[in-house]
Amino acid sequence: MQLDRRMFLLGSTALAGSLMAPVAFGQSATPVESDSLRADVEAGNLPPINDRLPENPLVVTPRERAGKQGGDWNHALVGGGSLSMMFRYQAYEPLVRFTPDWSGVTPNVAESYEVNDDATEYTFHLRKGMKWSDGAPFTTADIQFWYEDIFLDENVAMGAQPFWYSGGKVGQLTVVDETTFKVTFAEPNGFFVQQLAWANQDQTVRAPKHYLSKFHIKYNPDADKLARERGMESWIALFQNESGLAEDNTYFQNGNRPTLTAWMFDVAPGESTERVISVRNPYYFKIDTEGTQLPYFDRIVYQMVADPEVLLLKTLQGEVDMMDQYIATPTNRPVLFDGQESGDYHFYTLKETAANAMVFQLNLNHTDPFKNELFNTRSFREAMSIAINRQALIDSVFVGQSTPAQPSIIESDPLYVERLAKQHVEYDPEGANAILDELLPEKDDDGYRLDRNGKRLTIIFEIDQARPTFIDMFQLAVPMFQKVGLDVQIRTMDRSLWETRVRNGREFDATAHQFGANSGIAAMLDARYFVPHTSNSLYAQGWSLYFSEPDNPDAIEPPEEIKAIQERYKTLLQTGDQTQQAEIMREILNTAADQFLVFGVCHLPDGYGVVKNAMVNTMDTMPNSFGWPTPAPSMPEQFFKA
Amino acid sequence: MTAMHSTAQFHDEAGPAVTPLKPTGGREEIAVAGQWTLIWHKFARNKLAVFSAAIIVLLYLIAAFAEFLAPGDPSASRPQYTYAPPQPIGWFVESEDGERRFQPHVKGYTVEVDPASYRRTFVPDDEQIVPIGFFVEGTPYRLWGLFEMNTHLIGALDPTQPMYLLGTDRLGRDLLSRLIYGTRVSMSIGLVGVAMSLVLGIVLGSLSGYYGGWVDTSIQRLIEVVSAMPTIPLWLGLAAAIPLTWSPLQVYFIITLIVSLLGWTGLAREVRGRFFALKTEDFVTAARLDGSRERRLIFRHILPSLTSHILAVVTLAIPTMIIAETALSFLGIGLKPPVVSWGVLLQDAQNIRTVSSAPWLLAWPAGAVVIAVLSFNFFGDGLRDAADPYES
Repeated sequence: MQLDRRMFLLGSTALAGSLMAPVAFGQSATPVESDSLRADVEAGNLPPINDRLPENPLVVTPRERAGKQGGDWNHALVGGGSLSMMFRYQAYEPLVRFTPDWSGVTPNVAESYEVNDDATEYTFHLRKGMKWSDGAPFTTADIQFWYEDIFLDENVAMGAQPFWYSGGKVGQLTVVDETTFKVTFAEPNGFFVQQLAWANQDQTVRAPKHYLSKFHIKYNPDADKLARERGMESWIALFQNESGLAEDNTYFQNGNRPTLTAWMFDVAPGESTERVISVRNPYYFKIDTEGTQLPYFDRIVYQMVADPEVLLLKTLQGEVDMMDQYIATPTNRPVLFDGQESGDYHFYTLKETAANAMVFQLNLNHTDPFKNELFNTRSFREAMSIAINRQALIDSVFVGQSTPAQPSIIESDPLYVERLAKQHVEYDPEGANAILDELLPEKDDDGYRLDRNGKRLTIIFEIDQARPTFIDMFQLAVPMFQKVGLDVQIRTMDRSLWETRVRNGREFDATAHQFGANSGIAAMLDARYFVPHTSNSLYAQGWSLYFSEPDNPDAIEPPEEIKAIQERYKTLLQTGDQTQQAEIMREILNTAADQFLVFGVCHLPDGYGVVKNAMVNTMDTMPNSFGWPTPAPSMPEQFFKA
Repeated sequence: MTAMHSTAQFHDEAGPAVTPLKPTGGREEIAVAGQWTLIWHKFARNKLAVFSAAIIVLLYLIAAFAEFLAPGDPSASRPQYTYAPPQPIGWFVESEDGERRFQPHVKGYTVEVDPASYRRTFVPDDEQIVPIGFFVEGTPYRLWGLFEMNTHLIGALDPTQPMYLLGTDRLGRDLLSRLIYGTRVSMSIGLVGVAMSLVLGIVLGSLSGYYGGWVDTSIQRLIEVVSAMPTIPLWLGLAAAIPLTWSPLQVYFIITLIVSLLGWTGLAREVRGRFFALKTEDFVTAARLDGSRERRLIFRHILPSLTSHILAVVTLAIPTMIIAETALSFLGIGLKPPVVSWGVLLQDAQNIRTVSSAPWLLAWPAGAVVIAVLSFNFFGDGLRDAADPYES
């Protein structure tokens, strides 16, 4: 399936969502009991299929052909620290999900939904008779439990869900009946369903009331006692531990919590250091066109691997059925390419969605007044940008497979703004020197420029050491900066130290990162490099904080032009109409080009992943993103091995 | 070294020829020879140890003259030559009329990029002759920070042309140059720490063992306190405390010093034990009765009889240090790129891509470490054997 980025924008609004029928919606198929579960049903361990499925199961049209239940999906996870990867493989079942081509959203757990004209009221219809993986009914009571006793309960405090707010007020939940509920906003909230479809954002369908309520003081007065029995201070700690909604690792380490997903844990990550095993959820709400209940795979078996090199070896030997994380780097590409025959796998294409391969970010909210003033000078950033020979970086790190570009929208997208993408990418050390001679005329004996106090100006980029391509690019870029008299250095550090110093600190000089988004709806939702609005806008943490919490003592009031772009972005988030959305976004991108807050290297060339030849119904081309949690929206429930 | 060795032999042989009437002259010489002369004679007979010593000297010469010996700048990269394989040196070129003439050269590459596999394929191009020579002009440098020079021992006559005798790494940097520059860091900084541990261990151990009493008690308690110090939390604290403006090399230097401040305790204990055993020996009593002062007793009489032991400890510590260079990198305080050292080169090469398609990146740095470590070990063995008074 070819990914069409224009479609991406076309289907991007809430209004379009209600009009769009899901691929299989309206199709029907008669559920057939599968061979593998028949024995259990006959022995009375499991109700028959029609009692397990909702009245109106979601009928999935298999991508190539229908399969049979059975088999293991051989998978792997690296280390213990990255369980959020599981959203990609077995935990993406929101109310509405992104379509496989990311052209829009389609009902999933919700049977259907409607939006009113000004995007202030969303009505969702659940599936009648739908059940959690332990057989308990899934109804609007579960949604209400999440809303009242988790989301709005100050004790539980599950972390922010900003998209539930509009005009500074939280959306109101109204339960109509057992299967219908409404969310009403004070002001338009144009991206609500897209936000629900974003990976790891829809918590409404992840809080089984019948299981979690016994840990909540409101429902169980003895919850504190229960907590102390388990060695915890209060029911809050226990509840957070059991629900896991605040922290991904906690979420996945609890294998007892019922779920709506296709597979549920048999051996959860907390229980074994060698392998994690997920087994079929017999109550899963999807069937294929022939009536076979999904998923096809009986189990997902994750090997826990110590480091990426071991995973690479296992993949080369054909022990992993599908993999695009950890090992699918440009460096490993020749190795994996050569191993295709012996490993019995082939490549698929990943369309990169990051705004840039690497974004240089000077700290625009620096505590040092001289550096703060300098970094906030646009011509200084321009000088640094044109001091970089991007083609050299591309040639060595990406084997020449890209062209220089700033963090921006890609050319094939309707939102493409050429100035944003291509300004200041020409390699021009003389030009850089000319600008710098104005700003920092004094030099020391070694040819490095001096600051106001006559001390050598040193700019240290702090980098997460787990990003080898960044380190490679910096090894090439540092001499280029030195050539124009800037004493640029890099320090690599462990991720946790980096988080402390950069994401939560104000004293760092500069850093580099990637992500963000290069097209359509994703760029509107994650505009981190165009508007400082999230903690991911590492270059201006203070301004970003001002966007969401202007009263926070750490927030820094930005200059007028930044405030203006932040206001426009707020307007964008409230807009439901797609033409208007595109118009406002284009305006924002043009302003971002004027401001030129960050600079980059190039857009990432297409990535790749490997999939065993025996796997059926996988996609040949898909986006690489965490929001569209590759490969979950391509529907792993209908994967099988021939 | 080898030259000295043959001189010694010549001397041995020449002795009897010049003074045939005194065939025992050599032995008399030995009988009156001082301890160091004896050690030297014994050492010189151990060919392996002498050879190792020569290699160590060579390595230090390489470290000292890295700028001159390296064909290029270790951090200069050429994107079009990533993972280029080593080029063998050819000695003769055949001109168009079929005449062979002497011209050291390497062959250029034809490079093809395969977008499917993301690989540059290098095929030696017989047409593309890159003439090379000795004492060529190339990248300018400042030897020891003093002399502006641009002469390199070996290099392409035209510095813009590729000459990668040991191949290149993933960023297209010359491995030979990196290896030569790496020698400097690997053979120096880590060893400063070893030397400091050694001095501290010997001095404090000797004092403790020789004087006994309250000196001994306080030094031993100090040792216990130091050994009880948990190291990982200490390094964690240091990693946070060291200012970010320090270069990785400075950080590593400080860390090795601190490690050495913690690492002397084992040696001190051993030295103390030996002192206890030796200080009541007859030769010590004799020396004391001869009026030797304490300093002379410790350093001239007792300590030399421990030399073999100390040498063994040191020669084992040095290779550990070279290999452990990068061990603390996870805390951000070990050696890391852009510093060039053997440990860093080895760490860069520890991946399947390198093993499968660029083995030279692993082989050469590993070879360098093995050679250095073996040389130190054999050299240490030789010294110990030579210094051991108890062996015949």
